[in-house]
Amino acid sequence: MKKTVPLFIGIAFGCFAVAEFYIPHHHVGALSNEFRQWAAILAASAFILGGVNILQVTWPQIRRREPDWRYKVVLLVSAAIMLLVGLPWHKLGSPAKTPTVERAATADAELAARGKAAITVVVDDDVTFMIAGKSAAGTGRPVVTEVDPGEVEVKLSRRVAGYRPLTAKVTVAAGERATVHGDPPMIWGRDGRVFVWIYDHIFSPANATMFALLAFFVASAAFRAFRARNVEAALLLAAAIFMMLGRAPLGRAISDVLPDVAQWLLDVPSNGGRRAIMMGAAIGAIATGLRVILGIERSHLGSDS
Amino acid sequence: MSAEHWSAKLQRFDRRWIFLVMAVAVVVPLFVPLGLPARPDPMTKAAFNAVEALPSCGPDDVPPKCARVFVSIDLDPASTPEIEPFYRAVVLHLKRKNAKLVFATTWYQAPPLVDRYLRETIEAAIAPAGTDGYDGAADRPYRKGIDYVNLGFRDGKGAIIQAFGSDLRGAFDHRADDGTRLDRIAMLDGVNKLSDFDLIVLVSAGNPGAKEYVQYVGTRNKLPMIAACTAVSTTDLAPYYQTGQLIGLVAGMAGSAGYETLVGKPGAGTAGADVLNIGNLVVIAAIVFGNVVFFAGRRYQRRGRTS
Amino acid sequence: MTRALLLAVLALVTVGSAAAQPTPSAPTPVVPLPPDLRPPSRAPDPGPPPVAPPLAGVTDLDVRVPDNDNGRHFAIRFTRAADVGEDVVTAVFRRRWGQVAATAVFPTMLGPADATPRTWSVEFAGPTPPPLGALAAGDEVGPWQVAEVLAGGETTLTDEVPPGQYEYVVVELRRGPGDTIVAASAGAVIGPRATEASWFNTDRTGYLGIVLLIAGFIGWYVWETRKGKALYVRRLPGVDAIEDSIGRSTEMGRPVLYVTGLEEIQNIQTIASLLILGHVAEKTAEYDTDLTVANYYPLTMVVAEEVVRQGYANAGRIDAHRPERCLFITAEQFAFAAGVSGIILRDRPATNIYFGSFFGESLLLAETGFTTGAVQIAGTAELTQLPFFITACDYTLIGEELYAASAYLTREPTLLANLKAADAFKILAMLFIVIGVALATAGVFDLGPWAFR
Repeated sequence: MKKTVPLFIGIAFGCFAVAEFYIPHHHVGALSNEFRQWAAILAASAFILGGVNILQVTWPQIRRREPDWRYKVVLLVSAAIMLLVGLPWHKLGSPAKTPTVERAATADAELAARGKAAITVVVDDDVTFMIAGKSAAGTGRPVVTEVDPGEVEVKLSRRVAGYRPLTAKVTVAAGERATVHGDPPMIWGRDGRVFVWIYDHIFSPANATMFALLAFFVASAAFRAFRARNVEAALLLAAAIFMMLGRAPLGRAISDVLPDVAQWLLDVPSNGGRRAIMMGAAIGAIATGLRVILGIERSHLGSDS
Repeated sequence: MSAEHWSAKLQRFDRRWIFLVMAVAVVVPLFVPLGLPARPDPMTKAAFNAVEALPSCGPDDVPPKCARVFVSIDLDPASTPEIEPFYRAVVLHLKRKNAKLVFATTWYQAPPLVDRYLRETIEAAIAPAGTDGYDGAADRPYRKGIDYVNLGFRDGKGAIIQAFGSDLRGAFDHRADDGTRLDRIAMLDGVNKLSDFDLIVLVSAGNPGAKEYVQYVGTRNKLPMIAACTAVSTTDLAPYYQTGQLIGLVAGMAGSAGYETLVGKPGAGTAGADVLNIGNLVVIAAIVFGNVVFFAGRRYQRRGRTS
Repeated sequence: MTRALLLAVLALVTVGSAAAQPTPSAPTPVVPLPPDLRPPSRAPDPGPPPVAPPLAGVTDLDVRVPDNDNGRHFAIRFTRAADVGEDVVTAVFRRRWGQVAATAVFPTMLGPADATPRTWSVEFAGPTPPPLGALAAGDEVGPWQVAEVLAGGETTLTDEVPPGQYEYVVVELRRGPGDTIVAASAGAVIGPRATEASWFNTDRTGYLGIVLLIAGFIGWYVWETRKGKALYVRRLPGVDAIEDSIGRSTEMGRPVLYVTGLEEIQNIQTIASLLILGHVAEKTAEYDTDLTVANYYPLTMVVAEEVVRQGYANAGRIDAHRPERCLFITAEQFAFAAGVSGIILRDRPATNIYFGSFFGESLLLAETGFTTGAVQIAGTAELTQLPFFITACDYTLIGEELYAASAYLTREPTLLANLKAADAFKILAMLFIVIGVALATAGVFDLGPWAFR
């Protein structure tokens, strides 16, 4: 029973997925979208299981002080920090701030005569502001901009990511002077300052470093493995050298023939072999898929006990 | 007891020496540039020509006078050294034509990168008038909702790319990344799916990426697409260029450097091309050295057997 | 005296008044006025506004359900007049059938030409026409809805609608100064048309044929095995090496590491990897060797744990199964590579098995495993990573060999039949390629109804 029900579910949904490719009817499409939503929910809920698994595996290793247990502490602390900074804490508590607007007590006759108004913005030098579609940088000192009378949108934002822009709609009459102060607040969550800072200064460099290790491993693998033991190995070796020289600018500097040879290797033998492997793999994938969908293969369904 | 042959010692050679040589080969060209010209290959030229063929218009013109281009940025920080130079060059190229740009991504690691790219290259001018070392037309800061739209991130790999091909607005719930309703954005009038764009630019580091676009939507709808990929994916995507399913392919850092040369603004790709040259030479030297050691050892063993 | 005096006065008055009057034959000279005293000049009277030339409208309007539709589209096609200018756009309107009384003849959209401002006709029952640029798909105009405004001269449109019956009207509109609508053609009306959903996509008949062909081959070979025929499958050294390397691990007292790849559970390579994992788990249970399974996604971890449990149960060693050795590392590519490399360097497994979908981290894992002296067996259908695995691993399963491995391991007749069926189709595919090459060489590219779309 424990194996029969999953087998039946697998066959039913597998056959539906295959049939959906051939049936354009919108009811089938709507049902398919619904199933995809279910799959996405299942996959998301599995991440909770994954988090629990990490704790279950890591915590005993820390408690028993197994080798490299300190790295396990770093792992758990890092995960906790990212979880906490990824939550939108700014949505709790006080409502969003807007810029403060102060108006001068008396109108400016000279401005009024010219039919203009003036908006003064006082913000820090890491804040940019946009008035009526024109942007400028804050300087820490008042910056005066003349505008036409009416409703004017003033938007304040910080140069770096992770801060919420502040927007004020200021209605000014001819001759009126208004002063806008504002300090865009920091936000939390995926777009928040701390999350973005950690992404830019820790995650990105670490990710790039791991990928960069490949350069060193390629060199050591090349030294170890590219030996002309037989004819096939020698051909592979020669092709590798031609490709490396031909694809780099150095190859063109040495000879114009090298890039053409590299392109020929890419277009003819490589593409030919690649297409053959792709076709074989695709046919194999169809056969494997069919045997899983039809229930011929059942070893992935688990035990009966 | 006979002394050990030098080839036998070198067979057990500590590979950290190779790491050290590679490290020197990577670092030195950054400070002492070779200055070799980065000549573009035919696939990169084809990509450049596809963008060059788009119509140019004025800053206040609207489609169809202006080209509408869909840019899918599917990369992570690890692949930025290879394909970010292409992204910057192609965006400069598109901004010179005042093309309207629509951005999206299908990689969950990409949104912070996309936000940074938009701030640095779209909302600011990449090459304003008077830029050193650049003789081409200047570009301008783009206006959100008028010159560009960021649709944001959508998960779903092949399925979501299929949705882009049939119902782009629905795939993003009819809203841009900042919540603006898409039907309020004039530059998107008449755009409902990928085939409504004049060109599709794929900045693709892996899966899902250019291959999925070709397989799920490109071939079916005969979409004009150019792609940039990491060097290791070149062999994967080259067949699609050969058959015309991709009308241009910019492969790795060498391709990015070639595109920068065509656009006329050398950048990180051109600077990295020197590192690529020296790094390739180190790998070739390692291969040659390994074979010398191998053949020397084999000859020594044969002599030892015959004598 | 007096009379003479009066005559003299009279003559004097007459001569004086004659001297005061201008001589008719000599015109009075006109002195031009200084510029600031001249009256302002007037623009010539523009006259009545020019009448916009009438618009011909579209002809041959056709609305039909596209082939193989999902029941939510209409394909609209029409013909425009040859001399229509660039200032004329085509607006397509739709409305559900039955909403209002059907109209056999569609009135002109705009009211009287001399009305100021211009009004919509009664049919549209709205205020003044909006600027043309503001007329967008989805806008309601009276009982009608704008399906699309075609400004680029298009004569076809695929309209997406909820299922139902609809009436369509296509009208040409002329754009005037300030983006106003200054003229409208008579509307070409068509309807009602009902959406129609297909139950089979005829464009994909070829693909169904391929699947049925493979299924037919599977059926054929299963029948052959039931008759007792033995099916030959060539040796796969990589698969044969699994058991030997597990034995080596047992002798060295070191564990076995199994990595299921970097794709989700629904990826066919991950499924193939999990199928093989069951057999590996059974072998490690028999040999009493530790098995560590590193997974990229939690859902894969859950399934892998069940598969390993099944393997241990099959070997009769369910008591030896340790669920905590089925690990979820992380769903980030290079963090996963770092985590698995850490396991390799700490636990120093004697056998590393990489089966599934791998990307840029493949060489990182393989080189790290090499430094620990492990036997490494890899299998993937990711073509870009095969060179790295071939270079750095002892055995590599290429592409379909990964899918064949589970059948090869069990030697179960039904699975072997499945394998042979795939091979048979491959031979057929080679035949198609030869035929295609011959046809292409002969210049035949159009296969008509036989072409795959």
